Amino acid sequence: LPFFISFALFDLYPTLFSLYISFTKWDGLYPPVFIGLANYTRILHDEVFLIAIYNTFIIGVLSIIPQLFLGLILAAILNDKLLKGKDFFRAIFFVPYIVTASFIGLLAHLLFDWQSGSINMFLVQSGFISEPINWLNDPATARLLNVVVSSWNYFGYYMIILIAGMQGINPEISEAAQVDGASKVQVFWKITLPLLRPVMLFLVVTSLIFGMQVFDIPYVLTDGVGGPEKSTLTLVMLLYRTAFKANDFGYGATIAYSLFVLIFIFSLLSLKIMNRKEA
Amino acid sequence: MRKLFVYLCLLTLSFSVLAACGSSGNQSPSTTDKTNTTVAEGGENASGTNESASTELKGEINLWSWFDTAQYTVDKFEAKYPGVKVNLTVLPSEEYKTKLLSAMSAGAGVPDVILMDANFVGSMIDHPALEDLTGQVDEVVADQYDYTIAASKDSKGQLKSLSLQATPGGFYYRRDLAKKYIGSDDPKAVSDAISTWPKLMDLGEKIDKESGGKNHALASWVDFNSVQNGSKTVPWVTDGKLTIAPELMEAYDLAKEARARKVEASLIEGPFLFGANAAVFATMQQGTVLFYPSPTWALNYFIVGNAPDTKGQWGIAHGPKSFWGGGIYAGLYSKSKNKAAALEMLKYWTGPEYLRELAKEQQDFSNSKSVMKEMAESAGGNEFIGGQNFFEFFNDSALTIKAAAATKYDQELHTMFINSVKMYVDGKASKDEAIAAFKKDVKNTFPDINVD
Repeated sequence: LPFFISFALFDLYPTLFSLYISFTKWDGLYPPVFIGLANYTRILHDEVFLIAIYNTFIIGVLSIIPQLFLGLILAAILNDKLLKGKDFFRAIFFVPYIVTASFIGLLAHLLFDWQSGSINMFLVQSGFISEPINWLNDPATARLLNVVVSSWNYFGYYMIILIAGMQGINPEISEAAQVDGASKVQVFWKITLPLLRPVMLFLVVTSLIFGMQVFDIPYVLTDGVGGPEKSTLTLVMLLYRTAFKANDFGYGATIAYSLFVLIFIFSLLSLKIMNRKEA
Repeated sequence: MRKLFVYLCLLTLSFSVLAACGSSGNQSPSTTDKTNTTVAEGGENASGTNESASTELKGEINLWSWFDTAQYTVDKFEAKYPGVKVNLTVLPSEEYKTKLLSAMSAGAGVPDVILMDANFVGSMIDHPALEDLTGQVDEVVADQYDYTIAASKDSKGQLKSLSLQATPGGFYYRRDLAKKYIGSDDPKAVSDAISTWPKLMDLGEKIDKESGGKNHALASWVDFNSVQNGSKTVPWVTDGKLTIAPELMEAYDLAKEARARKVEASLIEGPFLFGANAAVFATMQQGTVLFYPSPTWALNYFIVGNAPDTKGQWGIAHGPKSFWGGGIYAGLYSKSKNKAAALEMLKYWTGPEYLRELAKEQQDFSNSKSVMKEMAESAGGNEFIGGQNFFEFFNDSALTIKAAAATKYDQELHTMFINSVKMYVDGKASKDEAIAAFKKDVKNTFPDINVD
């Protein structure tokens, strides 16, 4: 029962309250005014919202691919029974995940700074480029930077979950295959990967949900603006800016609910796709 | 059944995004509030407070701030009014505004004295939880710099807050570079050399050429925005209609010209006014930039802090125009249970007795014409700025400033406007396109504003 009380108080109530707020016009100063579906009509015609969906997809969802890929390779390597020092490497690769995303964003901000960042200094001095690259001033490189940084932030998490998944696979199966003359690579492709599907499903679905909510890294990298030219303005950043910077809580709540609907649809879709393969 | 469970899990997970709606405000390490480090303190002992009144006044008042130096004011106030206990809560600056706004809207736990930073005072000034001070602090207002009063009023013209500081600006300069490129480090000669924007541009071009691109007149084109914004007289929004002040229209051209003629070092990339970042701070110590147009508080908070080894290397000159920037405002909670004590604290904080001590002990330029005049006459030179009289300089400056009323849209409009100028400066859009993009942004974020 205590759980339900705290759930009702801290989860259910805010959720329902923001649903109510999304039907109102509220600047945080005067009491909310009920305006029906006006906010939802507005969001359907809101170009910036569309841009934000696109950015979120690029940054949040596309970064799942390198993370999954990197996580899988590292998991396969570090799950090898004969490898020495694997615990050490597991810990090292997991460290970025423990550090908060905003700190990593800050670190990347310093590393990739246009004039004084180490990355540009290195590239210029080693002769790869003649002029320092202004990473955060071009939409393409700014998005790329966000993908790279969030991949670096989260690949350790994928790796750990995948290692756990691999250890859950009955070793007798792969041993039997090896006895039959299968190489390690073959075992990985024919046995490990198919048996890992439930774990991958879990990873993809949860990352999809969290990827759609990507906020801290682009926020820190762009000083909270989502620039250049809104190219890194994600949905949650738009929500934050609308509600807490522009003090338009009603519309902010509407963005939150629209995001909720989007996430729900995407999650259903990915579940369907994964399940169909299984069948 | 299993399927149902999966869907339920999914639903719960998705809900977390909605719950996050409330907390995302707290996680964000808002760098936008960099100017908050400003510490303005003023104080006064209202004319009516004599010794007996100060011992009779009793009660407890709650005060929130985002800067820990508020303790300095609290200690002084409590020493003078032993019957009053001030409960000071210092909150992280990035959370301060959100917490204050929620408390004010909920009408619970609101501090009795409400502090607001210049960059968000506009968004709160219309709040019904702020007491209308009209008529209650006349003697304080009479002694405040005229320009600060405009920004202390709400959209109906009611006085809802008091500006603790006056924050006039000047062009801080490195004396060594001034000698090299202007031929003199005397504040008068330097002021003459940059008395108009064209003169400043010519000087900037000369500096770039003579130093082979190593030194620059300004750190960034954002400086033009800071100066022009701090001298505009038209509010962003009047009667629901957007106006881009002529000063800001000029900022487009100035910034573009400065970039083209290499007057600025292209340093600040962020969206803030006077928003110096690490790269700019580094130049203060290195001495590669001649001018830093900044308000009063930049001396203590930006220059002394970031370039401690450059004592005596600095001077302040008047630039092409006078401007202001930043500051802290204080108001009262209209439903405060201890309004008398809170009002007394506000009066103390903005009155001559406290401000005089503050000016002497902390070299802080505050919002009292009489005390600042006194200091201008008596304080003498400040060693850090090569013996110049800090108070005299800024007192002259403050008297000539004009300001526009704050609106609740200011903070966001600023960010959008700077982005628009940036597009033009970077050559990504023509001036007309940049202006159109800005208007489109405004329309999108604030459908209520009439954008022609």
